[in-house]
Amino acid sequence: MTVISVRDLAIDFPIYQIGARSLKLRLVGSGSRGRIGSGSHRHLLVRALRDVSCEFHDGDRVGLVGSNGAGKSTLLAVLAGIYEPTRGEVLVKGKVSALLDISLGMDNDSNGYENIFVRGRLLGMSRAEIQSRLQDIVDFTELGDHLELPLRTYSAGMRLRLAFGISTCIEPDVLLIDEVIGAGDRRFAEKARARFTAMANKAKVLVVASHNSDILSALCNKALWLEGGQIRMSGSTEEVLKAYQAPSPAAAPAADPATATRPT
Amino acid sequence: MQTAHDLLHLTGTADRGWSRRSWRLAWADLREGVSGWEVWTMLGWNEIRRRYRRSALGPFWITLSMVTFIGFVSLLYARLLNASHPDYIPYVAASYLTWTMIAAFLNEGPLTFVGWTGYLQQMRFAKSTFVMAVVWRNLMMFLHHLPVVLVVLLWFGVYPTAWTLLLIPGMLALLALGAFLALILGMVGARFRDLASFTQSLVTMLFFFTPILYRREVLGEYSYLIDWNPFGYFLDAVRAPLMGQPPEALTWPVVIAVLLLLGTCAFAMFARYRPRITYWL
Repeated sequence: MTVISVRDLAIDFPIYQIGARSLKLRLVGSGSRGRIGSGSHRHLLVRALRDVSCEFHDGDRVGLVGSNGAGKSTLLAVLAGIYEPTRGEVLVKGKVSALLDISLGMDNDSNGYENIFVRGRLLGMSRAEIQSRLQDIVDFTELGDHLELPLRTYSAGMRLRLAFGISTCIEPDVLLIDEVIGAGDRRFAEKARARFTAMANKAKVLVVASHNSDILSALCNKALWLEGGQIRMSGSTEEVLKAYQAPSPAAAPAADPATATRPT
Repeated sequence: MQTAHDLLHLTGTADRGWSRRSWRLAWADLREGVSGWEVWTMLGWNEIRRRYRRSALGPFWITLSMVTFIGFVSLLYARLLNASHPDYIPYVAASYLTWTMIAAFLNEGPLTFVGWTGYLQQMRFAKSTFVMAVVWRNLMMFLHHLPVVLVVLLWFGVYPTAWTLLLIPGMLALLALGAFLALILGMVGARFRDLASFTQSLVTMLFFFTPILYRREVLGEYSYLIDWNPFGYFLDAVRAPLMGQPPEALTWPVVIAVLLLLGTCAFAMFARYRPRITYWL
């Protein structure tokens, strides 16, 4: 069953800063990476994705690879429904959960329990659902009485445990992850990995962007290589990772300069 | 909310404009946003809590400043306007309470979406969620200040009458005004960041052109100086029932006309620009 279908997707980000025009002259003039074009309304456009088409089916575990700025995070954000395509079409069936920022909504002055409820609401759970999973989360984080204290007293590792514990108790059909985060010391990292894998296995489709090829090899059966906002290669994880990691003699062929159109 | 939808179907927006599809999506957004009350009540509350966190008096600071304002200004202006009427202090109290809410809508409207940039960029939300959060937060603030004003009213012998029942439609009109302003100003303010500074200066100016400290009658033949100000009518729609008095004849016709106009504009703009909001942040 097709769960995600993307056709001819293009995403343009407008830049409205004063002075963007002079920046435009320089960037377009130098033809740098060819991904910055001018809109018809005087302002600068950054083309984050173009001509992206792909289909993911039930059981696909997709790894996104590519250098910084290749469009991995943008693609995840589009699949999450955050940005509507400038052109093209995106279809995602089922409940989508995007764990792009797992500590979104957490508040320094609230205690651990309050933060569990806030995060839970944002993840789409009702109060009753959170209540029923509370014990599981509390046990996982091993934070004990610390959960009574405001978040500001937590160490970075403890925060991560809490955020991770809450964010991994959901059961979406489509799970979108930007960089898998290890949590805490070695013993805990082991436990976190098991919990993450359990959640990922329940999802029909997993899409994960990462620079860590070990994680991708372990988690994924498919991979998508993005370069300059376009799909450079797609296929099985081994194939793509092999090509991606191969020392490239001529680097990537320079993309054609994009001519962006119609911002609003 | 990211898990609220079971089918996400997004198509290119570049040339969509006011197509039938964009109207339908705007309507779906409104329905999803309004029904997701668990999220907007939480966001609205957290915003209030965040503002007053670890302050001993919390939101009472605003109530306190409101009481001080009403007290001293009534003293001064009663002399200035020669308004020795026993109704003057309750009039100012009821006016100022209502005005505080209108001013908050104008001041905070441009931040409706900008203020939640981190949320909007990390998760999918119905955009109207944040409009509801603004309205909810200000309703909570209003109810927080209300008891003080009620005490002032009762103290000066202003008791509820049958007209007080009009408080319900009056409040609903004020909340609708807030929702439309939050939507319109929120979108424009996300695209053009100067708007927040503009509305702040506008509020300062409007304060004098709204009958808050004085009654419209004081102006006599010069009342046209303030009659153009639509917020004056919304003010009267809430203040008159608070005072147990009938609203002025023009109040409800103007309120309804303004709401229809603003509502239409807000929905049309939302249909057209809703997909652009996250790009503007």
